[in-house]
Amino acid sequence: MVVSLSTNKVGSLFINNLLAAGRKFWEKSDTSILRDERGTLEPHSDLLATALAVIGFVVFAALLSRAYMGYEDSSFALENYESASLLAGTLTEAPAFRAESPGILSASALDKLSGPDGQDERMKFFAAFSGNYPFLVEIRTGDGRWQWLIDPEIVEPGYLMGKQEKVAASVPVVIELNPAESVPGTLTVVMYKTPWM
Amino acid sequence: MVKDFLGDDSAWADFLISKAALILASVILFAALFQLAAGFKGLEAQEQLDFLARDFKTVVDQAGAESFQEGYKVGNQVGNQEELSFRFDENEVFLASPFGENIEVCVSGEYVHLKAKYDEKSFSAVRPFAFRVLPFNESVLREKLNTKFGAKGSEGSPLTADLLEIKAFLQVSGTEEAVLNAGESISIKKELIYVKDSEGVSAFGCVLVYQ
Repeated sequence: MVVSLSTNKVGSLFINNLLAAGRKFWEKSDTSILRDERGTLEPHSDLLATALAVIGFVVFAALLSRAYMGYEDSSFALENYESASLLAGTLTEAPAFRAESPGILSASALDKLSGPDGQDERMKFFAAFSGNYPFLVEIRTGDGRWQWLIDPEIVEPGYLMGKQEKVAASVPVVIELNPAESVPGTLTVVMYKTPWM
Repeated sequence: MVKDFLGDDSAWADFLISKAALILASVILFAALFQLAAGFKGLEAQEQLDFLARDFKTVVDQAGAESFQEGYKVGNQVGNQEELSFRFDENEVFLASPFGENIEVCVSGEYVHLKAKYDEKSFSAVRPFAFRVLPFNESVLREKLNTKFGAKGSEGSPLTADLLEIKAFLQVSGTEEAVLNAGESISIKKELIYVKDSEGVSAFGCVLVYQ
């Protein structure tokens, strides 16, 4: 009981001191800022204001140019996603990939096209494309067991494995592994940036 | 007089210098703002030209995608090879652009190149095509193939040359730019070129762009 009374007393003393110090500071600052008529800053206040405006303008211009440069950097992905998506949609209907059933890709056709013996087939397949967009086609089953990679061979070997900027679009497909088994999967078109794009 | 000048403590020099600095800074600030606004105008015009080039490229690529889907259908009934008509002056961005009809449209086998002038500045936008494009009509294509390979590349007269050679020939044929009028209709037509090899007859599509 005695301990709790003394604690309360110390606490109230501390708060009173704090309030007194705050009041004193307020009165002092009121005197020094609002009632100071010496006019130390007066002749240069317009210069300071102008400097602030110029700094503001420079910051605004810097932010603007940064935003534009950010847009320029990502413009490849923004612009070419549409092309990648169009290609992905088109390739799902490609006769070279199709099984006998409509809307289904054939695993045996993909084996033939992506294998080492499928060079002529690949050349025929990519004959309809201009070659302006180096791209590869990746088809994989949903469970990840099977994967086919078809690249156009219009660029040097290993080029598409580099660190070029790229954009990819995927569409869901159904892959016929054999006449008795069809599995879901995805067809992905990965488009690479070239120096002229 | 010098004594008067040095003894003058009315601070008129301070006042004049600070006001002169203020006026100078304001002039520079406003000039920079107007320059920025003028830069945005140019940027907007460039964006509009880019949009038109992208729009044209998308239409040509869509035609190419259709021809691609119909390729390889040898022996089956190939769908009607319809001719699309593209008009720049039906596009709202074209009508709203500051260039008017002074846009020059150059199409080659590789790209579409739009050139325009506005406010004494030159603007240009280039977009490459995803599919194989040739900047001439069907009769010119068949004539060129006939002259080079002795066959027209049609279903009844397929080409027998090596596919690589045919591709190289088409690439060279498409390098020359065709200048089209943006105020008139542009025809976009998908066309199949038939090739006969040891495995039989196959076909690949290309898009013809002409006026």
